Amino acid sequence: MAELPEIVRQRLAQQAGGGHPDPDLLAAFAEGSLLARERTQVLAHLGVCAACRQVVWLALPQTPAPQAASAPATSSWLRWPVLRWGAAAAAVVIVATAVMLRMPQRKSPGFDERGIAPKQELSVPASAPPETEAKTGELAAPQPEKKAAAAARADRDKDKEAARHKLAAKSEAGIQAGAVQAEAYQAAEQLARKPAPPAIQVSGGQQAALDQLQQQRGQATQEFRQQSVTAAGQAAPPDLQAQNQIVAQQARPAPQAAPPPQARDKVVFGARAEQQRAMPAKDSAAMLHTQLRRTAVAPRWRVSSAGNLERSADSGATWHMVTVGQPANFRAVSAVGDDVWAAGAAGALFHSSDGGQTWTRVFPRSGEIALTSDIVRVEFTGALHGVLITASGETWATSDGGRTWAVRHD
Amino acid sequence: MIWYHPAIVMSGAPEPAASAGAAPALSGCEALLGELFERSHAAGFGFSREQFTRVLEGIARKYLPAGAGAEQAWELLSGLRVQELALARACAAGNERAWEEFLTRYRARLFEAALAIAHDDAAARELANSLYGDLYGAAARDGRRVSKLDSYTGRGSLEGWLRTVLAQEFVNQYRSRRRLVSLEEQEEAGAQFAAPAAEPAAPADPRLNAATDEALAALDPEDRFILAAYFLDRRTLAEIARLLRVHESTVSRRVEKITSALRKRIRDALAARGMSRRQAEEALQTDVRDLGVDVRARLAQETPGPAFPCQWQATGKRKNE
Repeated sequence: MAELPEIVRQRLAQQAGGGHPDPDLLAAFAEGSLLARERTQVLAHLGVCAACRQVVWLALPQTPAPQAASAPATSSWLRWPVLRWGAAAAAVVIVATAVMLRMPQRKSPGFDERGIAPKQELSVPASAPPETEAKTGELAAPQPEKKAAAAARADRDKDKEAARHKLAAKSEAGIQAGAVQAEAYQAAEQLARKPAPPAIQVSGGQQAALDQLQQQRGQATQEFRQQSVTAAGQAAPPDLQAQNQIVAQQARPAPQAAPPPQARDKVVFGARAEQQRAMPAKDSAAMLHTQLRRTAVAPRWRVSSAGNLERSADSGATWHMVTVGQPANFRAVSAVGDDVWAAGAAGALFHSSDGGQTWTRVFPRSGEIALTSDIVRVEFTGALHGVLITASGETWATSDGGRTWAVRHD
Repeated sequence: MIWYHPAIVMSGAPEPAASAGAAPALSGCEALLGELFERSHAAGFGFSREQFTRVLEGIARKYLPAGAGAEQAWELLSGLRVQELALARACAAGNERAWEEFLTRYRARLFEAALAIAHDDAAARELANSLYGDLYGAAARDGRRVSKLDSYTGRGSLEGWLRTVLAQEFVNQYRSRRRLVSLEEQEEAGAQFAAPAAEPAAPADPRLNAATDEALAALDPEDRFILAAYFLDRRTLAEIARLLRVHESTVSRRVEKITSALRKRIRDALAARGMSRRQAEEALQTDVRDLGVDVRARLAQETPGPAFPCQWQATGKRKNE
């Protein structure tokens, strides 16, 4: 660290301030709730007043005890850098093992990882060939005969299997896709009652494409499961629940048809696939890899007792303070993927849509009413839907990503 | 902005007198005033809307510059912690329910804060009890009980305000006790074995003082605060970063940048005063040798920090370093 010439130190210490700011201003300064003009004034005074600086330092709340202090002593090779890379390597091995374990099951082209026939008729992106679109239109109609015909056609038409799987992996999103998936499940149930189909002869190129597709889908399934673990403890997103209900309703043309057990998985994954709908097919695998890698090291967020926003990129082992560009005393944080919402004192609400890289101040208003009280809780269940709870018992809800708000007084 | 002058003595400090000028315009804030009254739950403590509005007007008068518009008033008022403000003012007015709530919420925190400041259980209790007296209004003025809570304006949290008041009280107690140290205590502290006072340091070149003052005056307020906190108060980068709400590495970079920029400014100022670059550099370096003893004495006098029982003082190093 640089040294300060002694003469500078001397002159710096000699210039004492005149009057002193009151405790309100000092407390507000320490909590970051001063107006910009006042903050500059207080800083200018603190720069020349050792007594007020001392008061500010003494009044600072205690920092949380470092985690290392309570951690047992570890041997030298179990130090953090080793553990960090070891954890990353272990995660890669686990994912690779899971993918490889699932691959033999997928070698049988007539069945997916659950032993169910693949979803053969799914909605397709706009760029899909007209032939596929026509088939999708046929099978979107909830008629049992067409479902059976679709299953039979799947057995016959082996040359188109890989292409359909690729389309299925990209278009598992949305309610329409969910409905078609449900029909495919029903068709699969019918197929499952039949004896196992004979081995299918495919060409080398087709087999390679099929393997690539199976690997992508296996990774996608792993990704979702990791997301489910990360999101444990949080209520199921209402928008997804609603989608599930719609999917379940559309998936049950007959009352006795039970919804597929993993329908929620598909919908959640489909929501991500919906964002990728416009992407070229060749980028799909890279996108999945990126998302998988991002999920494997999904950052955790918290608010320290001092009101700072902190992020951990290593599952909570170490935490680093995150600044939002403006002083704020945070009370709560909610993160859904890359969307992070941090809220705190005096209605401070900040949103980042890129995982905390950039932040935008959000000023919730409902008609003439502005949110100015302390936000003690923030819960977002998706990019659009979220709720803020204030210290005064108000509930502010948004369903459009914070553009408009509705307030409810409890 | 109202500043207390000249000391930081806050015991029984009354609400500062209202500015002589007219009250800031709150005419465009009627809706906000009503909303703040609702949000504060002041009615639960027996305040009418008019009474609470008068409190808010007093706060606006205290902090808003003369001629401030409705927009500035809205910005100030909307950032107030009105719930805690209502609680504090109700306590000051002697509302029993408010006191019960205050004690329930802040009694333990107050003692914890006192302990964190005093680092001693007995001293912490004494400090907290002393503040309780001031908060309750033990001191009467003109036959009227004056509570320190009456001066809380809701700019920061009530807990932060209590911590700040405790810290000020502690600093005041420390200063008053330091003036009353007995001869025996001085001997116990080894003062009789202290080395004789050093020879008065050679006065620095007046050009150097002027150049340094000029460079310091040109500093940004935050830069100057960082310099003072790091080099005078010997605070850690982490502590400074926490207070300024930036990352620790940012403070580290800024210290480096400010220091080098300051040196350059002083050299330039000395050059403008007729010194060669080499002479200027020598003046900066020579000063360290010549003024070392005097500077330490001045720092000890000006900066009460090292006398407080902080962890880093035991080792003479900053925490985390």
